[in-house]
Amino acid sequence: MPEREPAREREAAREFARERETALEREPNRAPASEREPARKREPALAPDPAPGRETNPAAGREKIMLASRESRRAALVFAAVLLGLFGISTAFTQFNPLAALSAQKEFWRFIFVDFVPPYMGKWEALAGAVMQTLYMALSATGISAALSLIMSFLGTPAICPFWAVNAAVRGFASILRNIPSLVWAFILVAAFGIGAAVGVLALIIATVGSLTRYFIETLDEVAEEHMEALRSTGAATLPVVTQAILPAATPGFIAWILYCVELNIRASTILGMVGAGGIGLLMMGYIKQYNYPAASTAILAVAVIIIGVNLLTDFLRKLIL
Amino acid sequence: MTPILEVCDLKKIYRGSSKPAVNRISFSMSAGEMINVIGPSGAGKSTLLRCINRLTEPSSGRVLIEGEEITGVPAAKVRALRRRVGMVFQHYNLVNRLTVMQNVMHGRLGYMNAFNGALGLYSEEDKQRALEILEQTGLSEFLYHRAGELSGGQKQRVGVVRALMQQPSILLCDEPIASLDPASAQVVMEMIRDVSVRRGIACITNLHQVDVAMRYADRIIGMNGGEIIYDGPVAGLTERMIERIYGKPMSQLMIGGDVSA
Repeated sequence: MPEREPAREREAAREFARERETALEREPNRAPASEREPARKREPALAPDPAPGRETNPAAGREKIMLASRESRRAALVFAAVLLGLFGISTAFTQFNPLAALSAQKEFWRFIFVDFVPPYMGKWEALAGAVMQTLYMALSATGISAALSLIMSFLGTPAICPFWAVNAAVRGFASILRNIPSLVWAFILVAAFGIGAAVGVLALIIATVGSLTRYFIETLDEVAEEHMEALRSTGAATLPVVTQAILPAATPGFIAWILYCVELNIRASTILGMVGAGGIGLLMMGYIKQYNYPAASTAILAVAVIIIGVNLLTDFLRKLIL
Repeated sequence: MTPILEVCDLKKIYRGSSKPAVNRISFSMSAGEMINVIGPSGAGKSTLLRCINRLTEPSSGRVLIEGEEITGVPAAKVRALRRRVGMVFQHYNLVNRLTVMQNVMHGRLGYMNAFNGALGLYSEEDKQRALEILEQTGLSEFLYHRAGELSGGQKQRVGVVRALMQQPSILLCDEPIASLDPASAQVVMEMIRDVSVRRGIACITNLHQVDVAMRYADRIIGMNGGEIIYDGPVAGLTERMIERIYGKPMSQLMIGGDVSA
């Protein structure tokens, strides 16, 4: 901290302020500052430091120079040991035996290459119908979830909704929905409403709204940090700031998350079908229960094809849009 | 004559900090004046600027914009006063995905009702004015370019035009050239000086470069430790004073040398 300014200098500055005030009134169309007051010349103040530091390393030559402190290396070692220990204990408790997996090889390959081959293509109409149902489930659920999540994310971000209690409530609600997997929701809903694609859609929506709301809030927070201030400084109200800056800037993020959820939901909806929520999963489970493995194998192939197909499509859309 | 900007005994203590970021700040500005604020990092330059339009909430003290108090008034009044205070940011804060024209029109949002603002229904008159200013500042060829495609210097000029669209009486520039190369920096500083001279807007600019500050100012405010150490003409800024502002001898300050050469 420099010492306080002497009163003399402060007085001079005030004097200047008064003079300038009157000068401004006299000549409003004055020339720019640099033309009126030539910039001062200054000596290059680059005198060399009288005592350049020539420190010698006392440890040089005697001990190995370490790249990190002893404490941080010890911490890293302990961390690695704990991690390895946890993996070891977990594996021991699951009673996973690599040798058993190897010895069962023959049975495994026989099951796949004898029971499942050749895929039975006779009932392709039923198969196509089930595939379409799965796609519809995933798309419908993602679309409805996106709309709901958009509204919820507005309420969940402090940038848009200034009531922290509402923010916290929305975030908490979304977390609860998200942390229960859609498979569990499907079990509950199938038990309550019976088998069908509509139940599958509902289960997907519940789980997707949970995650998508969180993702949307993160995107909004990120964007708001960058753009909110500039528009607030113009005196704009919240709604125009949201629609004119935050939404356009957040759109690519939103689309990326929605595409991600489409992929996720295609996969999830096949699995949901297996617990009774319609689509290709239901068909596949039926074949497996009837020991109709050739037909099940066709259904499995169909699942692989639609998942790969949808991934390629969303990758393409991402490149196109973002 | 009412000053355009009046700051009285301004103080800001950030939460969780015992030392004020700015303290005992008082000064006033008249139309068309150009003040450059210098001082080491953490001296409170940005806090001072942000307290003027209440992006940062002052702890105590008063700020008057054209004689009207912005401190201690309701949010609607703050917004109405903010329209008269343009702001330019170090990182431009443009919406990169929108066009230059859309970004510039954001300067009008404060004047519109929420409905028109939300839908971006700007008046033809405002759009016409935007075209004129963009023309004058040599940016009209980028009208429909995305802001993200522009160079740093161009982005900052768009930032200034956005502020001008507010028809402000004060322009706050927070480190406007800190992220720019020397050539773009000069263009932007000349643009800001032009704003002050031709349009009679009071400009207050935070700068890290003492030589640039001296070249483009009518008046220099030097800050250290949250307080004003120097407030006066460029000519009065002696080497001794610069050393006091930065708390270091000249030999430890990298100052651009002779700027008039």
